[in-house]
Amino acid sequence: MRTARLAAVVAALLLTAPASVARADPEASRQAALSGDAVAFCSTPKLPLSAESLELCHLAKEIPACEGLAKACDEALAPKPKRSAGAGWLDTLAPLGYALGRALLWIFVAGVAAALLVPIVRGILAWARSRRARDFPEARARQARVRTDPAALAPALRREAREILGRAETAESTGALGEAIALYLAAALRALDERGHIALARHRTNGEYVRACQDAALRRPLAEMTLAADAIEFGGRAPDPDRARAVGDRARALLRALSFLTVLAALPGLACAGRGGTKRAVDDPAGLEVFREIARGEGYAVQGLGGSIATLPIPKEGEKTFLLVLDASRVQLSDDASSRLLRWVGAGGSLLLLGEPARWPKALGAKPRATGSRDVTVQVDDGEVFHDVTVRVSQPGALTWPGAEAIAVAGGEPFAARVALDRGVIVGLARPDPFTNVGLSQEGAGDVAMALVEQARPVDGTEIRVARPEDGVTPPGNPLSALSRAGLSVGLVHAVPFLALLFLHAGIRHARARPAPEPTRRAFVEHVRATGAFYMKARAHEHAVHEYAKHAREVLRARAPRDATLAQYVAWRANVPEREVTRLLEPRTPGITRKGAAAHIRAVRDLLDRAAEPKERTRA
Amino acid sequence: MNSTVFQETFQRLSAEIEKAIVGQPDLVHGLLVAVVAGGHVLIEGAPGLGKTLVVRALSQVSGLGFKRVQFTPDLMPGDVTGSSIYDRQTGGFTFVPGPVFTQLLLADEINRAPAKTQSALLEAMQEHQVTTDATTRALPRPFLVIATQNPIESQGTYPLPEAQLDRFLLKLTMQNPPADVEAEIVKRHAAGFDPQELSHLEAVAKDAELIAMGKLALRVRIDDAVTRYIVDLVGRTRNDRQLELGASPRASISMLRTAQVVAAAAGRDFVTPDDVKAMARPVLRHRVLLHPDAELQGITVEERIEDILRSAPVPRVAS
Repeated sequence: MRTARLAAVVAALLLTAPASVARADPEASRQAALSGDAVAFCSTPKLPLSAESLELCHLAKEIPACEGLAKACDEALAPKPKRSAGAGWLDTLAPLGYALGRALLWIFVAGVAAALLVPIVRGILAWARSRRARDFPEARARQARVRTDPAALAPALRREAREILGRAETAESTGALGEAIALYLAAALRALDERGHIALARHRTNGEYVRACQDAALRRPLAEMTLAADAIEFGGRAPDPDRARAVGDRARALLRALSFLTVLAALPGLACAGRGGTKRAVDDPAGLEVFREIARGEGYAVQGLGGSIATLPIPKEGEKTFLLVLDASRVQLSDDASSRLLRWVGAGGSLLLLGEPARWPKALGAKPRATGSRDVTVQVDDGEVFHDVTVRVSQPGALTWPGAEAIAVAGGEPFAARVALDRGVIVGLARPDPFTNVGLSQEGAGDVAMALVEQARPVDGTEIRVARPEDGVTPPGNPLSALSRAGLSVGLVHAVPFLALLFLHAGIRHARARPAPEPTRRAFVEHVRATGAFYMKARAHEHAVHEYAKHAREVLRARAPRDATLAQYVAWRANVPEREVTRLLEPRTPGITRKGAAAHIRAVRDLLDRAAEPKERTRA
Repeated sequence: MNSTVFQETFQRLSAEIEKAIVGQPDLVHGLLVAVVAGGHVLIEGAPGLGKTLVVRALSQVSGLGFKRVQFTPDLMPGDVTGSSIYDRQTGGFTFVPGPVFTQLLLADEINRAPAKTQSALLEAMQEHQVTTDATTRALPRPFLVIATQNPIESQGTYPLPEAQLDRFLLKLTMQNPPADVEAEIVKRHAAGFDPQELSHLEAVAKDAELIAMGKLALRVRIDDAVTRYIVDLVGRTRNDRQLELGASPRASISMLRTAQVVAAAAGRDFVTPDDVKAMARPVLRHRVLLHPDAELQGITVEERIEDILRSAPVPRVAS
């Protein structure tokens, strides 16, 4: 009775179903997909088996070609042997290992603490040193130079090429032709820099960019643009609209050529990523690779979603959309992704939802339902008549979905259902098995899968996108939240003080200028005094007295006016009797003792100091 | 003379010289720039690289009068400038001009002569005249001194004084050629090339043309931004702590003149910073003196000039 009602519903749905794509033969496509060299999910599946793969074990055992998977299932599901009694000595070693581990941990902690303290101390010392350095006027001047030295690289060159091009076009439209030409050249240079053909630097000339351009084909237009820009900038030519237009055309052509070259360069990579030489083995029993191949064989364009479900673009009314295949057992939907998905469907999207209804978005209101049968029956249109096709699933499963119409049954209960949500459609399956690689290894499974796709796909839609597990996650709004999601929150917190320490240790040294080393050359007076001390040490004190007096005479003579004798001048300056001055500066010291020589030198030095003191002017 | 003729003549001269000299385009370009700008050139390179050959080839293709002086330790100033000789028949002194009385003088291995002989060239190089026995005699126009020296040997040589170095417009250096160029040189010799016999080179210009080219180059426009760039570059040599002696204002003028010739040779009537930068190395390298500390650290003048060029921002209007 229930099956008859289902047949009527399916027939009605199929009559109102969208125009079909140029259907080939799903079963033939299925056979072709399974005959590929890379198909290994039945013979040598990826180990260890995932939870989704283990779910398919029952089914695998019933498929003749899946012995490898069945064996892997047996091994995975077999009870683990208990540990033998002989391994008891390992238990005695465990506490010892624990103690050793703790000791190593403490040593590690001590090492980390030392590693942290050393930079702190060194950083403080460096800070103190640099603080002293600040007091040196030369260092201050150098700091000022660094601060005031403008970054001569023109700011335009720091923007994106497209942005500069936009500015150039604006300048051209407003009649600022000279600026426009310069900006067109800047856009071209920036684009070349972005693609690694040249390296922008403030000291490089336009000619150097032309010569350095690695692509010979781009060199000529760049040289012409450079000549035009230089003629205005350095040649004093008046910019004219024709020249600006020509330079603009060249800049745009160059940017286009660069984009094209980038795509060309990326093509080999894309080919490898697709089905090129490095073809990946289809070894996941619960994967959807066979389904993808069947759909391709049936004329659909199949690709990944290519982004998060939480950022799915909402289609406008009448806009062509695609069929999204989403395995809820693999793609865990965040709240944002769930709500966005339903909005997308409501706006005209088509969704084929696989997996237990408990994992579907709550708003759909679908619930799992018990059934005793693993056989799923679907009505398939073979082009002439409808007939039932039955495939088997691994576990019995059915669903309850208010407002939905059943399109496949298992043991008389709805296994798959279809519901219209505003302008969109959702087809949900209680289990993903009919679309999995193992599920599609059965006879007739290709027909079943494509019949369900036909129920779900949008009008005239020939594009299928398959969601990957990571597509259910809302993308992070900023780099910090990305790091946080990656489990690096604690690491981030640790990084902050570490960065501060690193700055104290290393950065502070670069931030402050170092003082220039003191000149090593001695002043003349210092030299004379040192020489005198040397004579005294060498017991040549008579000579020392003589040399020091000579030095004093020379110093004082340089200060004395021309019309006065040296003795008169010094006597007046130092308030010392003229005779005493003469005695000190014209020493007759034969046989002077060492002590006497030292006293004499001290007296001469004192005389020098007193003569150097400022003298109050007295009116005569 | 117009800019097209200038460019063609320059290219013809260059192509003709390169028939004799293989793999030294920078040297040939520098020499021609100096010839047009009317400046003297110091060529430094190891023996056997073709220093003398390139100068002889230049004299051949430019149609300039050429004389060569081999500088030796016993060379006297009079051997260069000329001297008055007693004439028995007339009973008076007759001036016998020295080799300096020519248009293109090759002073080969100039650093082998003592300073007093080197200095005999100072007046000739700067003022294009020679004074002997209180008589001043003008030298023919154009007058160019191309001196060569060997950087390796130090024994028996007399380094040129700074005053004389500054009078050279450019200092060009020659490096050993790469293997393929050397193979080409050897092949040419195997095919019968004789470096002593350069009569196969055609004289593609005359002295009057070279003078006209020099006058045209003087009319090449210099923007204020380019002038500031030149002054900035030269000023940076004076403020460099690794350099004991920076370049003089004469270096700024030399850079300006040579950049004008480079621009004219490229068919332009204005100078770009690229022209200036192209001539900065040959103009500056003999005009700056390394600080002794830098010399001890193994720093070279070339490295300092490269650093200075890297530190100076190029004028650019796009902002």
